[in-house]
Amino acid sequence: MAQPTTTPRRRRGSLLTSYYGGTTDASGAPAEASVDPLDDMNIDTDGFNAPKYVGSLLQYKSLEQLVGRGNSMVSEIKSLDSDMQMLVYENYSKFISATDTIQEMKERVDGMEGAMKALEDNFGYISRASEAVSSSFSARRGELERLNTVKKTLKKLQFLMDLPARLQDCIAEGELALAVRCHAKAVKIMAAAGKHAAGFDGIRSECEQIMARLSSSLHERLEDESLPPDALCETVWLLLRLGGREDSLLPTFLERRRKALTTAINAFTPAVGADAAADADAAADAAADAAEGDAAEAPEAGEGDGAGGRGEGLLPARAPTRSVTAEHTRQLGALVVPQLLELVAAWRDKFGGEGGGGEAEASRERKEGMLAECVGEVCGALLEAVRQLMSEEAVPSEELLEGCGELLDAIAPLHEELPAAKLQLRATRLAEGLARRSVEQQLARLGDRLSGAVEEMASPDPDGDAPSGSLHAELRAVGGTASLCVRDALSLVAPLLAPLCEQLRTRADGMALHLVQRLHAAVRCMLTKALAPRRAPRAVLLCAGCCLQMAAGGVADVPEALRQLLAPQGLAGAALGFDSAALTADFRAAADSLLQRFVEMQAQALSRHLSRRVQATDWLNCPPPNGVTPLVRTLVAELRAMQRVAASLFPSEPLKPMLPQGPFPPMTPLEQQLAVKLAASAGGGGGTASIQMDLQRIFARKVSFEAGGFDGGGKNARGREPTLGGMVGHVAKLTLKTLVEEVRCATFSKHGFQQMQVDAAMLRWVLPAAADGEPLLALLDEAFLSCQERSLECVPLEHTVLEAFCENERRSLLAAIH
Amino acid sequence: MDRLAEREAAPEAGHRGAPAPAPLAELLQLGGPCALGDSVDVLWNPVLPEQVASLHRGTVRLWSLSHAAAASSASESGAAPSPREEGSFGCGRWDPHHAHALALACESDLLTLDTRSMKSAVAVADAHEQPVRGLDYNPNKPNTLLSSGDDYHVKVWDLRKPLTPVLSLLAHAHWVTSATYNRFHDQLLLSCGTDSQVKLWRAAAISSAPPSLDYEEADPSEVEADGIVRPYTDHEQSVFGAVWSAADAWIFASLSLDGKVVVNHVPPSEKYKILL
Repeated sequence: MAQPTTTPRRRRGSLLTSYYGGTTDASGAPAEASVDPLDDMNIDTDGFNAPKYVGSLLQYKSLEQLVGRGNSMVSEIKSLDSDMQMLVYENYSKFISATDTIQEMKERVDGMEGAMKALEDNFGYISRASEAVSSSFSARRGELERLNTVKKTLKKLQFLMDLPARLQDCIAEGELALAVRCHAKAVKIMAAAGKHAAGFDGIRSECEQIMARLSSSLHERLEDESLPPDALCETVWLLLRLGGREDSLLPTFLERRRKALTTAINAFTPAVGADAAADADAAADAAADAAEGDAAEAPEAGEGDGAGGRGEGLLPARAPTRSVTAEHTRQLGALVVPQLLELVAAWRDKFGGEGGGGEAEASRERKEGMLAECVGEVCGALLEAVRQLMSEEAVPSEELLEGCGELLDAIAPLHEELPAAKLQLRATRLAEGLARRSVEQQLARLGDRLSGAVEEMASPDPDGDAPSGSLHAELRAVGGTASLCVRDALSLVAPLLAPLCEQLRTRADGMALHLVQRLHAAVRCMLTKALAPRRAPRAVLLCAGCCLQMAAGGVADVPEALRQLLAPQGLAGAALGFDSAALTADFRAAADSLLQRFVEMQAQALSRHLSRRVQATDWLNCPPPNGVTPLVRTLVAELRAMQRVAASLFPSEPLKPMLPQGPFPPMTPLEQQLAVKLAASAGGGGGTASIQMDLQRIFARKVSFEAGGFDGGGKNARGREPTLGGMVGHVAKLTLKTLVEEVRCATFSKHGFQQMQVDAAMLRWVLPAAADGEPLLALLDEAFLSCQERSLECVPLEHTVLEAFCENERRSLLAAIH
Repeated sequence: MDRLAEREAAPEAGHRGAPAPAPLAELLQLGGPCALGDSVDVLWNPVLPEQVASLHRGTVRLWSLSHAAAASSASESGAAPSPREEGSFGCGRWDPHHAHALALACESDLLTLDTRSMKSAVAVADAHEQPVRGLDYNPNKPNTLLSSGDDYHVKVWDLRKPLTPVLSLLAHAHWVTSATYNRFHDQLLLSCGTDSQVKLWRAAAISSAPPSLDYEEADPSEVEADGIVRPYTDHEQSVFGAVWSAADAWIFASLSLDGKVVVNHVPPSEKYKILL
């Protein structure tokens, strides 16, 4: 009941469709299926029972509903009517147009029948005519064909007859290529004619003569050294076509080109002037002219022009301020590379070989190989020239970088043409090698500068006694200078790292590592220089000072500078390869050993002096003492001089005055013992006294003379740091030891013994002030004891007399200072 | 020192256990008396037993001895002055390999004297920085001379190339009073000095038996570098002499100023290193 209201349109559509017998569309099918065809209450079904439907309506619906239903049925009927009308009209119009079309067709078919008829007649006529022609010609066809062949042969004959004249003409007019082509054709014809055509022998021989002449003239031309490249190429090509031997001609050709280019490269003289960049063509021209000499002026100039033009095209003008080296490299590249490119093109064009097949392929490959070899050789010469250009002294690294860039640019098109020759790789290797060399040079220079700084420090000062303050300042400056030098060198090599590697498309790590290693070596150079043997103690001391300064800060600066250089380029890791800790330790060790050497030298110098004085003195016959001997004065003066020089290394350590300090020391136990012994011997009991002396000796402190003894000793709790006092003390110690040994070798009279007593007393007063006194006092005791043993008559001086002499000496020492 | 008894008499006198040795009979004098402190040393030529050299401050004299049944005689057969104006001879040593070569030290110079002509054959000026105190020839390797000096160094010289020493050791902290080769194994050196130390050194690289001729077997880690074997600090005073035993290759003795003699031996490990 609800269905008519919900789907009135579909129902209508399906009704109409069924009316016109169309197939039920897919969407309509389920709607149809849902409708029971036997439902007598459905108005759309066949079994619709109108009276039952009306009856049920009347029975169950209200009046209002009935009226509504009636109205809706009326409107449905109306719309169905109008739909039907429309459909009928549409179909009617279609029917009318169909009728019209059929009518028209009918008329046309009637007209066509006549035309068909005429066509049939025509075809019949044509076939008849054709049959007639073929039957009439069939008799003479063979003859015609024969005549045609004869005509062709005659044409060839004519060509052969004309050949000598034509060849002559061609050669006369310089159309050599044409001549060769004609001859080749003739040879083919004659070969086809074979032995039957004995009459051609004359022509053949004449042609062969002509061609032989041509060949020999070509060979002559080939011999001409000044032949321009394209003519050379042409000649070789012609000779090949004339049956020349490929395996001798092609190598000759390549050899000629190679030689010419190599000569050009070797004779290359860079155009002077930086403004050459503006007129590169002219520069290239000049270069080409200079290279080729006057042998082939005209063609070569043209070639140069071409080269210059191409070069300009290939290498776009860079910054106008191109460096000299880069400019020269560019010129060299512009001179050679376009010619090589032409060579490659011509070679492939003329001799590349054509046709397919394995053999042709193989020959092509072989020829490519020959070409690659030749080009490789020329490029080798070019690279060598560039290497020489750039490995000259003092090519700044920026220029090197630029030059390498130019070289790579120049090589690039060639590389594209001939990847087999590995030119790019070779150029890259060259650039890398150059960069390495430059780094090495720079750092070797750095090494020289650093050792120069050391040398300068160590060289004898013309002023002699420079104040220790300024000396100290100089030493401090060494550290700064070293650091400055390192920074200088690093800034000079900087472009050779990342930028170059970027250009070469290689990794910069290797280069950075190389740099770090070389830098290490350069700094180590300084160490070696400092450790070189020197004769002057002062020089040794200053070297030690340099090493101390480097250990204190100079070395640590280096990795810092490295890091500053490398970090922006992402190579900070390589900076870690610089082992500054080990280097610092080495410098410190070097300083220690140099200080030891200094101390030893000083001690030996003093000892030698002292030995001479003691040996030269006649202790048996010397006069009674009247003062301290000059020996003591010299000793003190030498020690003081050493102290002053060495003080510049230890600015923090207060300078102890080399002067008697405090009151004159009291009588030593040894002297007292001697007095006792003398008293005893006066009483006749010498034995006990000598035993006492021996005991004294047994308990005397054993003095150590180890070289490390001056590094502060046990009392000075500064570890292994060398101290000024320690050094001076050690020198004094060794000198006194020499004194002891010398005294043991001498024999003393009464006065000699007294003199020695005076000197020892003075030393006892002076020396402990400047250095650790205990071992010195022990040594002085030892000397006194030895002297006592070696003296014929032991009569010591009174203590007061000693004091008077020493006081005198003290005054004169003071006076000498002020 | 100026009156020198011939040493042939010595063995009898030095016989052990003799309670009171009889005074030695004087056979002859070498020349006349000379000034105090002038004589330095007397050296018996080990190759030519009749030849004796006496070393004085300013000259070296060569004596020829002859023995007759009745008496022995000595005649001066040659003399050479000190090469330096002021210098004096310090010590000398006969070359055990060459009968006519006598090595001498004059102050800091070294020289060898050809006793046939009494002229200097090889001279090394300033071999040490201070006077040379001791000389010894390598007993097994000709032309190799060991010197020690007041410059704390011990040096080994190849007399065919005398410009630089073959080996230079900073041996002691003060004068080196003597340095000698082991008579049997010349890779061992003994030095003593006034720093009261005796030191035993190994110098295998420059010895007559260079180490490891068999290169394949030589393991660098096993071969110990040359240098000090060990110091001996038994002395309290300056050591003035150190000698190897004439009979036993591994025993040596040293003497210090206070009269102490110390007899020591080469450490067994070192011994086996040389022997094995």
